[in-house]
Amino acid sequence: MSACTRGGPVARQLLTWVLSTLAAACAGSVQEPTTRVIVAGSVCSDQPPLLRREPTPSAAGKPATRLVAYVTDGRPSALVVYDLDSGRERLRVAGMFRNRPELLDDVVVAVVGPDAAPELVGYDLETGEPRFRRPVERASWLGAVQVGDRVIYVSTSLSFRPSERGSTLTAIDARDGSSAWQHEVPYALSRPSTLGDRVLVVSDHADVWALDANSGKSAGCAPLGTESIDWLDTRSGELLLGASDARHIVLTDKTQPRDGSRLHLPFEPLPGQPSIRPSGYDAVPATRSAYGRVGVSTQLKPDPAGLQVAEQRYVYAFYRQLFAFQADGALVWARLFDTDAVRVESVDGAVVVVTEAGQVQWLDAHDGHLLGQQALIGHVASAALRLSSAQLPDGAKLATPPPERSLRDALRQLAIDTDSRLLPGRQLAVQALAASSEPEASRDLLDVYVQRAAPSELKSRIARVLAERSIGSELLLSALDTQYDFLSGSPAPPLAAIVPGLVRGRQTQAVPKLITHLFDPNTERADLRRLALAIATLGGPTGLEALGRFFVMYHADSSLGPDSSALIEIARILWTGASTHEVKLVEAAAQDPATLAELRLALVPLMAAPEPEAPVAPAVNAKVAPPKPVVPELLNDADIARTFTAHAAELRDCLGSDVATAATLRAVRFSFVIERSGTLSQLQIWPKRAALTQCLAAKLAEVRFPAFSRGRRMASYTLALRPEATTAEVPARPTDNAPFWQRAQLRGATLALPDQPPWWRDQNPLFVAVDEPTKPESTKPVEPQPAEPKSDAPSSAPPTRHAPTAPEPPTEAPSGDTWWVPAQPR
Amino acid sequence: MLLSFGMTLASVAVVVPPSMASATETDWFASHASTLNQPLAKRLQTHDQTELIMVLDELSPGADTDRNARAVSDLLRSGQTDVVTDHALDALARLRSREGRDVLMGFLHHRRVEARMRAYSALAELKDSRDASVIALGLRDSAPQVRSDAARRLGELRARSAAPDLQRALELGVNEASAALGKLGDAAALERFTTQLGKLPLPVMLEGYANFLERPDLPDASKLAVIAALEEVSGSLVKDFLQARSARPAPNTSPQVQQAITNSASRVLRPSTTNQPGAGR
Repeated sequence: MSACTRGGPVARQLLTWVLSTLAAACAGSVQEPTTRVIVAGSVCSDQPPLLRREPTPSAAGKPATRLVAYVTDGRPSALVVYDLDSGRERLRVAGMFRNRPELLDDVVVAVVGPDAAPELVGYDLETGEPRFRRPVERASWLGAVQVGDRVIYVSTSLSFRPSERGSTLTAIDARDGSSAWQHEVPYALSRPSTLGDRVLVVSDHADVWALDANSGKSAGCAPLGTESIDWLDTRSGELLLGASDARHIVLTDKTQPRDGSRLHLPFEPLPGQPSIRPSGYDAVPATRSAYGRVGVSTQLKPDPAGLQVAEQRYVYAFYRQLFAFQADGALVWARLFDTDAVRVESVDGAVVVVTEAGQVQWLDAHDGHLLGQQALIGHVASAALRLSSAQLPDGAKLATPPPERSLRDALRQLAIDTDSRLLPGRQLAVQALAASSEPEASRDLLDVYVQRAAPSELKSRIARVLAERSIGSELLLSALDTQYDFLSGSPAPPLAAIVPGLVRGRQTQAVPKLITHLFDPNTERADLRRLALAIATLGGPTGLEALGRFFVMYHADSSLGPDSSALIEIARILWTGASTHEVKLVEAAAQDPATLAELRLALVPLMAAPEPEAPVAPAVNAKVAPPKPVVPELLNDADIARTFTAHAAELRDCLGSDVATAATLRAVRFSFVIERSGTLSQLQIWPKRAALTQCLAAKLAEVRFPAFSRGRRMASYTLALRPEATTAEVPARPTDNAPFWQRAQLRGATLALPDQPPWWRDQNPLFVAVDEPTKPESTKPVEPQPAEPKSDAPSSAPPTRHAPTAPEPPTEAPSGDTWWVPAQPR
Repeated sequence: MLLSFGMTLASVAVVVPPSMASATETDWFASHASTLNQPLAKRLQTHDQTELIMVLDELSPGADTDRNARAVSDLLRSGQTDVVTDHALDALARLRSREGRDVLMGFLHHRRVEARMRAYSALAELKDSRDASVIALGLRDSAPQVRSDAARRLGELRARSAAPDLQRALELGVNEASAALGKLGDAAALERFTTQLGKLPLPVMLEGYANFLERPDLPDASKLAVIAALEEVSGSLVKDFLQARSARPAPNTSPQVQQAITNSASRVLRPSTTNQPGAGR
């Protein structure tokens, strides 16, 4: 690492003296080479503290003219300065602009030219005449400020080469662009700000460095701890800075500044989790980009009571969407523009928005209604605003005010808009609609949901919020009245969004409509299960009767063959229902050979579970449902091992029938598939000995594993026949809680090498059949021992140790139909 | 109804038919012959698909039509495989008994398009004008086949009340509604139908006009307006259409209409081959 590079803020204290020594070597100043410069790691070493100064008389003056400077979209682009007060253009000049322009006191500056040779150009704001054109020192131009006749700007360059990395702070004469002073540092500086006659920058996200604007001499430095600083804002006359939060730094007369109040705004729900202010380290392009289009705008107000947002409002722009929030995060109003909002500024009770279409809209900060509007010429790619007051310019006044629009209407408009970029904002609108106390918001959410172009993420969010919403369930009920109709173009209602809310609202009057939709061929197959559950929950005997009718009608029909989950769910409901009548329907379906295969398979474990008690009285039984059999989704290894253990005696009979076999075998390997019903299929047994295979296959055909509900389970199982050879368990030691590397070290030192094959030898159970040692140790059959099943499904059981029967390649090749078995060397 | 499902399947334990897979051909025919004399309801209590289909296909209107329709209805209510369901619905269509109407109403909303089509057909076979409004619901179905079939059936039924729905269906691309409208539409319907001339394919429109022009109940003025409209469209298709009707007039065509058809047929020109060398000289 170069000596010029800086360490993190934490290490700064330790490096202070080293870096102070190296300061001169790492930075320079064109005006005063001997000036002590700001260096990394000890930015404020040997620097005077940043003190408070009385405001200079020049800081106050008549309010500046309100202007918008923008770069038009297209090639070549043009820089335009528009006077909002007079409603006329002050400047229009064509060029290839690289950065968003900056409106300074009496000059507008922008960067033009190619990447390799960027140039800063300045134009007089009054006359529109060019004032200067000069090269920019580094590739990225961050921004400029003006203090008197000085224009001070920061350019920066990022590079892996330390010699090319750094920032340059340059001051020029605002009248002709001649150099005044310059500082180069090997680290990042932020966009500059002004505080009186001083220029402030943040050095490398850590310290605030002040320079005298006129001379360039250091005017103080403030180390501000380890918290990263991304932006600096001195427009209020106070020093405000921060990253996601805003901090008020209080300057004193004698000592280093101290932390004042802090402001945290609830931006967590906002897409992109923006900061209060955009980063001061980003170069903002002149062309279309997210800069200006996505972000928060608010006026920060340092107050004795603490740092606050002016009007207790902040606005958040997301391309064409604009949301206004109270300081506590409550949404106040929202708007959707026809084109992107390129620039949004809050000023004294108004929000001024420059849109890509060239509209300057003046909105009331309190309710968002349109106060006035001005039209720029050309499409806007990027824009800067200079606003001194919220007073509506004469040329912006509206002949007829637009109609008032409620927040709900605005949110509906935002949520329903089909601009694919706006999905995060649409989700925000959906969330706000769901929080609305107006029942009609439920209908709005459904309207958004049924849009053909609605993305699935939006739909799932709507379904979720509607299910949780306690208001408007009567609207959900009326939404069930619609049915698919080709002639009228009416779509089927969005049951996935409607039904959960009805169940939550206990809308029992929905049952007839739900039944109608259950039998409607236009109801999505995926919705049938949800409908069945809702009917069962809300419907009582009527619902059960309808479910029974549906079950009977479709139990053998191919329309639900690809996905029988609804029928299976209905079978479960009927089986655990209040009446023996429904139970008989399930029994009949189980006996019907035409019943869909998937359904029939599911009925086996369902009916194998303890039968529900005969109902004493339907009314009572309807309240106290019989215990429902729980069918796990997956079968775990422990279940498989338990089943084998339970049938060990039967399997032992097979082994015991052939003494010779028993004498030579150390293990038997089973490979098989377990169906959902718990039956076993595609059984393969190694070694392939006819008598043994026949016997074991017959025994295993009778074995039933626990039923499960999802997919099939491929598994293998090794029946170890030599319990005495099991690896000894390592006794628990006091070091068992030690880190794994320590335990491994201790275990390695105390354990003898296991009698096992090396780990690198292939032990794939799919082709390892059985180990047949050349020297039988005993002719006596031994007790079968359960071993660890191996399968493709995740195991929830604790791992068990392998028997030390080192699997060797099989002595006989598996049958030809086992395609996955690699060819064995002969 | 639910009990019938339970009873049907419960009885299987007692009467299990011989399996086709395991029985020899002779054995099977022997056992089949032994069941022929049983009542239909009994014969339908089997899970043998082939047996069921054979029994259903044998059904035709006769003395026991209503009883057989009830038995088939019970079979349908007990839930069958696709093939058995389809054959059962076809059987109900042949039986034409109102005893099967209730179960057919249920199958109009079946999830399988084939089943719905068959149910509409069976219902239409009842030839009962009271069912026209139900069959008209088929025009609202999501399946194009069902909509087309319903339009055709409505035309056959001369269901005048369905004219507005048929017109709407025609505008939405149910071409079969054209011919149906020609069979049942009145003068006002014809006027509305003609608004689609130039918007819908000409062959589709001509199907409807053919039926309109054959209708003795329509006033001549309406027919003359059709002929005039077609002459304005002109072209080979129109000329062929008019020439065919000029050569073979429909019964009860008035001399005035017939003369207009003949005159128009002669006036309508076939499109000139302007893109050929020498054309237009």
